[in-house]
Amino acid sequence: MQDDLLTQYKDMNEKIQVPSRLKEDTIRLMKENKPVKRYGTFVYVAAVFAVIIVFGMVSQQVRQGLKKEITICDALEENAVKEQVELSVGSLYFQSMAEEFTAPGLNLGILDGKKISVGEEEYFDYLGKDPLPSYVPEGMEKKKTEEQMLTQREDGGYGEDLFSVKYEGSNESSLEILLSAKGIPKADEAKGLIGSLIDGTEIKTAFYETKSRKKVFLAYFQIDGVGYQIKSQGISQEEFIRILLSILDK
Amino acid sequence: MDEKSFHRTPEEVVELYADTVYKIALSQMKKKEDAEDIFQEVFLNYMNCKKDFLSEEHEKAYIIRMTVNCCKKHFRSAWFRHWAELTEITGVVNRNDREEDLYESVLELPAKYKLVIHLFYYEELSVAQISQALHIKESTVKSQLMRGRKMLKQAFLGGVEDAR
Repeated sequence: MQDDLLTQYKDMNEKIQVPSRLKEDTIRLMKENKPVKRYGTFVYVAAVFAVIIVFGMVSQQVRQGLKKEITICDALEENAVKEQVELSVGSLYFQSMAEEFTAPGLNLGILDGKKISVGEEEYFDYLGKDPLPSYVPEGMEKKKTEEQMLTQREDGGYGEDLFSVKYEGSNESSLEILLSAKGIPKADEAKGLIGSLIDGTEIKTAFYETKSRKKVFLAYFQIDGVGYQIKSQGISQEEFIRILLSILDK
Repeated sequence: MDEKSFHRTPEEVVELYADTVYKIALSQMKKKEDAEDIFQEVFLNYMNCKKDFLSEEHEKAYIIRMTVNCCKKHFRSAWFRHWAELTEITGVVNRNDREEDLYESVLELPAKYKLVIHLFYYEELSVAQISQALHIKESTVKSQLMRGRKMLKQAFLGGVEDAR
């Protein structure tokens, strides 16, 4: 009975024709190497204008949806690491790194000003943006952020800053994001790494395996004046890239 | 065959994989316009990636994987989340009521189950080929096929009996 149903499903799929207009347009765009002509978006845009007329506003979420999306072109394996991953906008290089080259803490040197503590909301206001990824793997939850460090100079301006956000998931997986408005945190670690230019941002990515054979992925980059060091443990390379892309896509 | 020979012309690649890409995208996205967006994105990415394929099977697995990745990406976009609930499944072919019900029952399965069902029953890929294309274990493919079939039977036959 089930197989009869599924045979009908196959027969029905065979009746579906790919629109010849779609094939022709796609071949033309492939030859011209032009970006995707969004058929769906035309429908949505009409709907958005209707919403504007009725409500007089468009949400930030809707505007974000119009941005060009970056896609992972390569097939990535759950338990393996590819040193070069093809994205729709270029290649992302992952360099093998030894664990000892990653510093456990951060030395800010001589501080310019007096240390003050800030909470997440206050710090994101200082950055002028919400810097967190819009995607994190399923089951991973943000841990309560402890107050972080910002220095204030005598003239009232801000000096060095560092903020850390941590997510934890099942199977001891974790994601830690270090942020600074003064440059890329732990930039020394990234000095010897090959950079990848993704959507106009230079990103240095690396990986290593811990003694307990967990894969650690690292990324160092700066976007919209905010420096990032991202470090994951126990998640796949594909998920790590999706986290990165969700920050770049914001 | 020399691996370089898999760098096909746009006409060749679209002719060869149009059905596969469009029908996977349609089953995943449930909307013709979204399936068309995915279709173009996959083929443009294919052209830009300039990847060397070891065999036609390798190339097809890559195309399938890229289609699934594009669908996942689209699902996650704020745009899709915002509007998907407001739209209905768009009819793409003339069907009778029974066929319509069956097709919609498949579309209503969770994404992972309908994907393996589509690849197994329509694309006629083996469990090993699906495992290779989706990078999941063969045992996972088998259990997803089994659960998908069971859910489909419950959803479709349950619905038919209710209607009697």
